[in-house]
Amino acid sequence: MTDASNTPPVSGVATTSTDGSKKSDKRSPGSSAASLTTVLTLIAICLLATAVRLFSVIKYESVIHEFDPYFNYRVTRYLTEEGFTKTWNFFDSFTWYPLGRIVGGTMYPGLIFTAGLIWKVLQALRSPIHIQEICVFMGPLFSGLCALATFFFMREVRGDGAGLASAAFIAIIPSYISRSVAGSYDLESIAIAALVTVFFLYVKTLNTASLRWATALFFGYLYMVASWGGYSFIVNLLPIHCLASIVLGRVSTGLYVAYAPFAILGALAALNIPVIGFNAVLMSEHFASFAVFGILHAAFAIKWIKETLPPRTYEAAKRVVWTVGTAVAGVILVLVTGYVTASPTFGWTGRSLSLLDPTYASKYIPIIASVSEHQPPAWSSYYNDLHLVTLLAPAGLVAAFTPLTDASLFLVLYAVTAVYFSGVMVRLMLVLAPAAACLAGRGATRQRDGSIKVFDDFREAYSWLSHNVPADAKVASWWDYGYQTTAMANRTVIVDNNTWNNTHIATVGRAMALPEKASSEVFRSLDVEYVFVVFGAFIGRVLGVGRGYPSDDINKFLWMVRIGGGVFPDIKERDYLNRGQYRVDSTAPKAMLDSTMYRLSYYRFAETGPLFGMPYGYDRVRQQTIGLPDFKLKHYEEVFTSEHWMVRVYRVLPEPNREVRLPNPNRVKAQRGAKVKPRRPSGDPTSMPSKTRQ
Amino acid sequence: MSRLLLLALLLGICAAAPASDVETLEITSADRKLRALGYRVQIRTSIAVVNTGKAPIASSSSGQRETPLKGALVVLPEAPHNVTCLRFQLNAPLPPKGTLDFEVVGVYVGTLEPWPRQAPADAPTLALYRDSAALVSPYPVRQQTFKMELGRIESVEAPGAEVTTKGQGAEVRAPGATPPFRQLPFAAHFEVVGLFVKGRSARRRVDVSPVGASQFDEEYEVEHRGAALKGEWSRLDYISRTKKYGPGAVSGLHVTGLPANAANLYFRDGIGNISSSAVQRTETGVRVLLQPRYPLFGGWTTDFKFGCVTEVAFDEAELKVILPPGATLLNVELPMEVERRLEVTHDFLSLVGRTVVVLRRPMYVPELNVPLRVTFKPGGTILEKSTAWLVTGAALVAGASIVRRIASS
Repeated sequence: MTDASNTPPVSGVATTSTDGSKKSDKRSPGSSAASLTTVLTLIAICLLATAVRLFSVIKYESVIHEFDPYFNYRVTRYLTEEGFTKTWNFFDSFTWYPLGRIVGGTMYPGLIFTAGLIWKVLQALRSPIHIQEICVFMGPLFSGLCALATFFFMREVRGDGAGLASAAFIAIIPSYISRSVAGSYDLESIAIAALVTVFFLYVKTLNTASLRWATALFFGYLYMVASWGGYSFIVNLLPIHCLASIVLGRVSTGLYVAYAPFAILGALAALNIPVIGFNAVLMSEHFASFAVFGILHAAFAIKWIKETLPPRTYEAAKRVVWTVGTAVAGVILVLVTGYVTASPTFGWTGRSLSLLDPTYASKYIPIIASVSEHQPPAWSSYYNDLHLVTLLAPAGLVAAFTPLTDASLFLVLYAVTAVYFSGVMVRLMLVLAPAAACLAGRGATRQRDGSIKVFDDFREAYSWLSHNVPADAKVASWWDYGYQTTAMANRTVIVDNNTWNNTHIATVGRAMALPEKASSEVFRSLDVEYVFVVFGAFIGRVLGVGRGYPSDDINKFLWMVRIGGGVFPDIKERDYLNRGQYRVDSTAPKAMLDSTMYRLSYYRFAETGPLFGMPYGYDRVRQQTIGLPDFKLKHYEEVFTSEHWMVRVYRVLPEPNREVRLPNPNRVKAQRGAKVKPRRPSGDPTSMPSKTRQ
Repeated sequence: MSRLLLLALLLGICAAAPASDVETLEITSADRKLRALGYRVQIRTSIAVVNTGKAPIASSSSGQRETPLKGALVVLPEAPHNVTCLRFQLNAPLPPKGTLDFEVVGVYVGTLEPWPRQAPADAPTLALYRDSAALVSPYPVRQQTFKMELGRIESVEAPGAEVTTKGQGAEVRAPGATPPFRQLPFAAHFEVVGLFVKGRSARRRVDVSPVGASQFDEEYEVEHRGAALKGEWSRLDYISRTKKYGPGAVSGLHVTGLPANAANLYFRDGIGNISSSAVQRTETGVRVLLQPRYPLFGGWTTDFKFGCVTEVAFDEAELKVILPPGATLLNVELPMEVERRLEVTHDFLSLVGRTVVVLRRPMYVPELNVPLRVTFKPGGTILEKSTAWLVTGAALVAGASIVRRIASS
C-alpha cells in the first residue's frame, strides 16, 4: 500500500503540474482520484457561474430587468396559459397597433419553450413555482451549463486542465455576466450556452468521427437555430474551419462526419424555424456552407482517386476532375451571381451585411446603427468586458498552435472571427467571450516546457520582504498596499487601507513628493527603513501586456501630492503640474522630476534599452519619454525589484551615499558668516554668482 | 556560527580499551580526498594501521574490508580541546604486526564559511575552508597525503607544509611523520562550485490514505549561505547580465527522482501558489525545476512547500508518515540513525486516531538518502463504519425532506 501513487493536494490549489497532458493523465494510476478532483472542481465552477449571477436578486429582488426580456416573459406567460400550438401561431394584437405582430413567426422560440418546458416539468413534480421565477433564473442556470459545455469543449481541444481553466473564466467573464444575470431573460442568456455546446459537439465529432456525436451535433444546432440569430455565425464558422482543414491538408473521416451531415441537416433544421424559413437556402450568409460542402466532396474525390489510381493515371484523372469541377463550379457561380445580383443587398440580410461591412449600417440601416450596443466598441471595453482574460487570451492563441490539431485550429478560427465581429459591434463581444475564455484557459494552463508567463510581482516582492528584511523593520509605501504588506510581508507599515488618520497619510504623501534628501529625513523620523513603490511602465515592455500596469504609483502620485498638500503647505499641487497638465517627460516641472516618487520609480529605467523604435526611457503607461533618464540615488539604495519591475524596494540610507559624487579634495568648506568672494565661472564674466546652493 | 569541526580518528578495540593501545597502534599511511560540493564538504579518508605492539589488540585476526564499522563520537582526555574523536569498533581484534585498511567517508556541513563575509552582488561566491594539513589522530602517522577538489582557487596556505595547486585542485603534504594530535593550520580560499545553499529545515508529511494512495506535503526553508549582500541590488543588472551579475545566485532547485505517476504537483508558500516552476515528464520519472519567487543572493532566504529537494543539506529534517485510519504499525525499516517517535493524529471524519511515525534527524545531507520502508496492517472495517454512518445520515435527511414534500402537497 505504501507504493501507491500520489493523491491530489488537499484543496483546489492552483497546481504547477503539466496540465494538458490529457492522455498520460488518463492512464496514470492516480487518475481516479484526479478525475474526482476534476469533477468536484467542475461542480464548484458551475455553482460559481450560477451563484455569481444571483447577486442581482440579492441586491434588488427576483425581477426581470431591461426591455427585451419583458417581451419574452410575456410570451412565456402566454405559453403557460394557452399551450404550445397557440403560442406557435400567436398573433399579438396588443402591439404595433394597428398592425399587430405575428409573434410565432417572428421570434426565436428556443428560450420561451425552454422556460415553458422547465415550468411544465416542475409542475409535474408538484413544484408550484411561478413562471416568472423560472424566467428570472434562466440566465444563471444556463451559465452553469455554459461553463460545463466550455469545459467539455476545451477538454476536447486541449485537456482537463485547460477545460477547467476555461470553464472558470467563462463563469466570471464580465461581458457574459452582464447578459445572463438573474432577471436578464434574453435570448443571449441561453444562446451562448447553446453556441458553446454546438462547438463542443462539432469538435467531439471531429475527434471521434462518430455518427452518434454527429446526430447530437444536429440536435444541438437545431436548438441553437431555434434560440438566437447568432446561429449564422456558426453556419459560417464551420465552413471556414472545414475549408481551412482542406487547404491545410487535414481532410479526414472525422471532418466529413462532422461537417457533411451538419451542412444538409442543419439547413433543414433552420428551414423549420418560422423566423428563418426559406432564408436558410435563399440568403447569402448560408451559401458558404453549401459551397464548402461541395468542395469537401471534391477534396474527398481527389483523395479517393489518388488512392485507387496509379500515379500517372492519377495526374490525368486529377486534370479531368479539375476541369469538370471548375466547369460545374463556374456554372453554379454564374447562376448564384445572377441570383444574388438581382437583390439590392447581394442576397445578404441587412444585419449580416452590417457585420461584414462596419460602415454599412450607419449608411443604410439607421435603426441598427442607432442602438448603442451595435456601435463599434471602444478599446477600453475589451478590458472592461473581458477583464483578466484580455491578458491571457493572446498567450492562449499562441499556445493553440503547439500543437495545431483539428480542434485547436477550430478554436483559433473561432477566436479570430469573433474578435473581428466584436470589433464591429459591442454586442458581439458576447460571442467573443467564450472564445476569449477558452484561449485564456489554454494560455493559463502550463505547458510542458513551462513557457507561460505569469505576472506575480506583488507576491514576489512581499515574499522577499518577509524573508530578507529584519522582522522589526518599518516599511513605507502608499496606503493602498498597506493591508497587503502587513498580511503577506508580515512587516510594520506606516499607513494602510484603513485610512483613518489623514495627517499620517499626508506625511507619507509629502515624503513621496519631496526631493530625496528631505524625504529621507521624513522617513527616518518615522523609523522607516524600507520604501517601496509600484511601477507599471516596465511591464508594458513585456509582449502581450499592452500598455503596462496603469494603476501604478506615478499615476496615483497626484493624489499623494494633493493629500500631502492638504496638510502640509510646503507641497503645492501646481508645482507638480505643467500648466495644469500632468507630465513625466522633459516638460515636467522641477518639483516633479525631483520628487522621490519619480526618482524611485524611474531609477535606471532608461537603461533597459529602447522599445520597438521608441526612444530610451519611453514609458508606455504615460506614453511619454521620461524627462530625467539618467540620475543616481543619494539617500536611497535599491535592494530589490520584482521580475517585471512592478514593485521596487529601496532602503533609506542612514547616511547619504558618498559614491555618488567623489569629494573634491580642493574644496574648502565655508564658515557660516565668513566672507567668501564669489567666483565667476571662467569665460563668462557677466554671469551672476549663484546664491546659496544645496 | 559554524565552528571548524576537527575530527580525529581513533581505533578503539572495545568499550573498556586499555590505554596502551594508543601507543602500540600506528597509522602507516593516510590519504585524504576532499571534495567541495556546494555547501557541503565530503572527505574520504583511506587509512592503513599496523599493530606495532607485542600483544594482540583484543584477540586475533584482522578486520575485513567492505565491512561497515560502527563508530561513535568520543571526547578523549588527552585530546586538545578543539578535537573530537570518532571511535570505531573493530569487527575482529587486530593481532601484533597485523595491519588493517579502512576508509572513512564523512560529509561536513558548516565547515565552509563565506569569505569575505560581505560582498557586492556581482562578486563570485568565495568560501574559506580551514582544517589541519596533517591528519589529527591519537596515533602517530608515518606518511600521509591530502588532496582536494575545490573550485577556482584564490589561495591555499599551510605554514609548515608543502602545497601544490593545479587547476581547481590542490595537494597538501605534511612533512614526514607526525606525532599524535599534531595540528598544522591550513586554509583554502576558493570559488564555490554548485549551490551554496543550506536548508534550515525540511518537513515532509506522507499521508497514506485508506485507498492506498499517498500524498506528500513538504515544507522547506532555504538560505543562501554566501557572503551577505553589500550595497545595491539591481534587477536591471540581473536581467541584462545574468551570468556576471550574481554568479552564485540561485534561481532554481532541481528535483529529480519523483516517480513517473506523480500527479498534482504543487509548489506554494504561505501567500499562495508560486507560479514559476517547470515540470518535465519522462518515461522514468518526473523532473521539476523549482524556482523560488526571487533569485537567492548571499544571505537571502526563502521558504516553500514541495517535493524532495536534493543537493541541499539541512540543519534539521523531519519525516512524518501518517498511516490510514485504523491501521496498525508493524515495522519501520530505515538503515540510518534517527530519532523515532509515534504520534496519533485526528482528522475530521475519522472516528479513531491515525498513527503517525515521526522520524527526525538533525544535520541531514542528501548522501544519507536511503529508502524507508514502513510496514503496517490496514484496518478496513473502521473506515467502512464511518462512511456508512455518513451515508445513512445523508439518506435519512434526503428521505425526510421527500416525505415532507409529498405529505404537504
